[in-house]
Amino acid sequence: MHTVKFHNVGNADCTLINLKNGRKILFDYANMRDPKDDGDLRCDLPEELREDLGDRDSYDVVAFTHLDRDHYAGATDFFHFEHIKKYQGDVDGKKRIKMDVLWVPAAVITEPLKPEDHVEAKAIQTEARARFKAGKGVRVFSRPERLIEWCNDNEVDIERRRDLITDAGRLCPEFSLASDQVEFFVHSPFAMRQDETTVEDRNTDSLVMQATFEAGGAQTKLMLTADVGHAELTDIVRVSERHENDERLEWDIFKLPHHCSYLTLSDDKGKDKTKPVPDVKRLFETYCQDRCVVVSTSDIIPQKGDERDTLKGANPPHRQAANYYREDVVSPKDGEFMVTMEQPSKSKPKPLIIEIGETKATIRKSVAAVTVVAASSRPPRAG
Amino acid sequence: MAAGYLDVDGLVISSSALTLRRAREVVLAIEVREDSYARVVECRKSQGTETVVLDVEPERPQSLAADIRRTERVALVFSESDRACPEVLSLRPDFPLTPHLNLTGVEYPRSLCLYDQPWPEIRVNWTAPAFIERIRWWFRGTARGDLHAEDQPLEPLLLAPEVWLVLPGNLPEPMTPCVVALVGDKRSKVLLASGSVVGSQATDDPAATHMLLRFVTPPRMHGICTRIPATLEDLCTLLRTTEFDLCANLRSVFKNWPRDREKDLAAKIVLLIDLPKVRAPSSSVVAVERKAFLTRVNGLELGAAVGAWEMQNGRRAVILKPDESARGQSVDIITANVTNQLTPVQAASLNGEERSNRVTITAIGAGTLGSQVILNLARAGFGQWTIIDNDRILPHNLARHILDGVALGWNKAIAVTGVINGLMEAPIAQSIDADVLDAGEEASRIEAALTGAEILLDFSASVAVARHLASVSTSGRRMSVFLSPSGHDLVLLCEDDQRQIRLDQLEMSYYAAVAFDERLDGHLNHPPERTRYGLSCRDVSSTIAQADVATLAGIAARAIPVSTGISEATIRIWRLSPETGAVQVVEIMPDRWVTQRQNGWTAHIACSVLTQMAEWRGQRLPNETGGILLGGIDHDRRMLYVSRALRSPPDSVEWPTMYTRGSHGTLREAERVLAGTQSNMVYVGEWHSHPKGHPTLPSPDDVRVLATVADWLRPAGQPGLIMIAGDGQRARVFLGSYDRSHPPEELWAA
Repeated sequence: MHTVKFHNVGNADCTLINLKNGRKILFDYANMRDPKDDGDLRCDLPEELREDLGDRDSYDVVAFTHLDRDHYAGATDFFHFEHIKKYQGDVDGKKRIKMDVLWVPAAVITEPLKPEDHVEAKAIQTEARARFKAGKGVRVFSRPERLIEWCNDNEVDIERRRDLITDAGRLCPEFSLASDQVEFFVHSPFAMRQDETTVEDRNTDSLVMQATFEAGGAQTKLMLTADVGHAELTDIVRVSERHENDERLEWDIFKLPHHCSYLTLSDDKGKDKTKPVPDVKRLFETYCQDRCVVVSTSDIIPQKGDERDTLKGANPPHRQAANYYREDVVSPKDGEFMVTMEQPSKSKPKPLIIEIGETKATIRKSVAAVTVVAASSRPPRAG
Repeated sequence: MAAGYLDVDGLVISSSALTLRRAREVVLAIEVREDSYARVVECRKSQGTETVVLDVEPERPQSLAADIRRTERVALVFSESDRACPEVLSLRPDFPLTPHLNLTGVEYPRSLCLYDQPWPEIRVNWTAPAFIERIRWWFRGTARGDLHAEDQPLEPLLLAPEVWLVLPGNLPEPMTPCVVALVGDKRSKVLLASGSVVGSQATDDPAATHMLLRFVTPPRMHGICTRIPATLEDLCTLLRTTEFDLCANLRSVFKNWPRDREKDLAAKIVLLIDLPKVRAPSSSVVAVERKAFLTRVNGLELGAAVGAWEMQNGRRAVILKPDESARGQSVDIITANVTNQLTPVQAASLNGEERSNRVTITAIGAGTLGSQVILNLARAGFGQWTIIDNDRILPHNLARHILDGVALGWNKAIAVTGVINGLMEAPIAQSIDADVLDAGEEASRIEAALTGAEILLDFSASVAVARHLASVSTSGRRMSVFLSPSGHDLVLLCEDDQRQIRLDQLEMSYYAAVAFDERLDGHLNHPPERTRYGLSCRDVSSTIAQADVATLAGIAARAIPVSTGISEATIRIWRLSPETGAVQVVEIMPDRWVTQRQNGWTAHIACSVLTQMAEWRGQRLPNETGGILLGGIDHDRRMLYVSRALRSPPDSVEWPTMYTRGSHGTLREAERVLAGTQSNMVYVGEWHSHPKGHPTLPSPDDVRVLATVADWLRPAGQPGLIMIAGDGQRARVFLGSYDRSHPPEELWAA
């Protein structure tokens, strides 16, 4: 059985894929919790991940889908950076975790960071660039002119780096159905778009993949999106359909882009429900499978009239988008809309675990025994 | 209640108005936890019951084995009497027909069958959170299709909780009368069908004469019949499919009833129906459920009830066109579960064995230990037995024997055979009432039993029998199982499957271990406080605890199949501590042996003796060394076993050309061994070594030693024996006297 674990880190991302054969893949790492705040319900991410790792000290793959802070926060306090001395050795007496292979969109290599950009973003860029120069431990997605340019500027022979680069429309060579019962199909970034882009916008050049898991003859498809908007999703749908890659658009589990933002669906938020643009509508309503799961890696969905709802230019999650997913996407398919900060309960959220086996996806809904809960809770002070 | 759900009895009340403890606890359990995946919809009160309606959210895979929804609405019905498990009803009007639903009088609302234990058991650990979890667990398993584990038998299509029809292994021929009679106490609903009975004593009782009519339905999913049929018509409707109509089948059977079988129509009819079951539509048949439907009518009446004929003046009158509207409306039926009598295969499976090992075993001795071990093994479907014993059951036997007072005066072999044959549908044992050592008129049967068996299992507690078994010329593997005199230790000796190490040789290795292995200290000691009439090592005291025998008989029943399953010989002793009940197992490595016949005797020399002598010789070279030899004697069969050489006593004289054995400590050692082995290990002779390059032939001095030893042992009826150890771990044994012209062959450890 494979598992996919979405961590409750608020409006941020960290998705762990544990394959049946023991290999581990981490998509993004954002430790958002404020350890000083007892009321912070976001999980203690390094603790959660270390518990899962057990004796292991590495991931087979760590992907940074794009360089926004809600996708890398705290990475330099958790990972071992092979090419940056100060991010090596122990942290708080605990071993740093190695990234055997780093997956990044090409923009992470090529995008010039500004001085005011976060030091952690710079560290990931430095690490990715150094690995790319060294010719190992990294996979770069898509092959824009900018990457060639960057190679020329940095005296790197791009022809000798071809095996580190995977284009959209291809499978990541690190995994295969035959040996890992999973394959990763790259949807984005794709060269066409980046060629036309003058400025490499971080979100639009972020990683979008479809992971296909196999177990006992059944395939379960997970759409992993970073912070793409409806325009990028439209492109993905059109390109895939043009290449007759329709099955690469199918999904059983959809990790929503951008924490349930209406911009994933349309520029128009809508009054109570966002109406998606046609190609995105098709992606969500036609390509979804029976009893699908939509995962919003986000804060609690605001109620109508909430402060967060009424604020102009409010950040995601947006209840209008959530209403669309609930009513038009999952309900007709008897599926489920899950919000990482809402489950199993808003007051005690826990990482969301989806098991993938021969009966496809199962959302784990286990209830700890009362006595276990009691034993693991802290009693009040006794007088 | 919201539209779209089934209605629930009673008036809606607030949860605070609930009075029944369990109902209140369920509500509380949900209210205090946000993450219980359950929500209280409403509470109701009715005459004697309180109901809590819940929406529960089970864990559910994407691919469903049954249509279980994201949330399921259920009504938990608690009764004031609390005498049954609270009922859990699905309020979905389209809830699917799944396995593990309770059979009730109505089809909806469907009632979930949550537990496979009776309510009094469940009550002990019932908590509201666990109950809610159990409901979620039920939905989860049903959604996944694994509520029923793969290896679990499929759920009955039709439950008939009380009535059982037990069938013989060989079903009576179709449409021939047989006897079906109630067995057991007055409230029993267990019916026993016996095989063919026509003309036997059974037909004297017309009430007991039945006729089984057999039918097979097309395959169907398990657990899908939702109610118990009350009449034949009801049953026909329940079983009816496009391909199968029970009523039409019955009509056709009766319509074509042979004229010469007219009188059989007086027998009462039992319908025996095979229902092949599948796990999923169009999958292959996993099991066939057999159900019996007892009618209270005979063939004549049933034929009329299904329209095959009409009754006129108590006789049947054939009608031209069968009456298809007659569908057994008037025929009441009783649904009975069907089970077969126990078979060895089933017995093995019930004992957790993968298969029934039907190895042929001839067991000698059906006493305290033998009867208990045989019964244990037979209950596990192990063995096809011949049991030999000539003893009879007396009251004192009943303290520890499997037989009861009814068997007083019975031959033990016959009575034990009766008991174990009574377990199974077909005999698994036969008996011979005879003494294996003095067979008399049973000689040929005993010979056949010994020759035909794959295993000869000695429970006789008799050394003579064990030795006899060791020597009879048949190919079966020999095994001895006996208790120590205290009754606290169990001994198992088992030959290797090639019979290279014989039972008597194993016995000698066992005595050597008793004498020299400290793990067996006190093994053959008799309880000192008891008066004994015999002092044999297998003479079990007459006062030992049945509890101990039962423990050790259980161990023996485990060990016998294990030993027969491996090719090597085994010697194992289990030592039970009566104080703590702890059992220690002592494993002894069986010796290999070489044998040689001399002067009418057969010498068996343990290979360990040869290697031991060679080792000590090597340590002492260039001097000679020697010592005494210990072992056993079978005067009856003129066998002499050398199982142990002792080291040269400290006051011996060792020179390069001569050796004189000292005697310091030898007396004490010989006495110790004699006592410790209940005289089964004794002084048998002398050994010494010869220098390098010298033959192992006796010098004139050596011949004098042999004569001296022979003189010493003559009163005991033992021949003199000396062994001379030489180069290359070789040795010669001289038994009785030495004939210079025919020296014996040299021996060496194979």
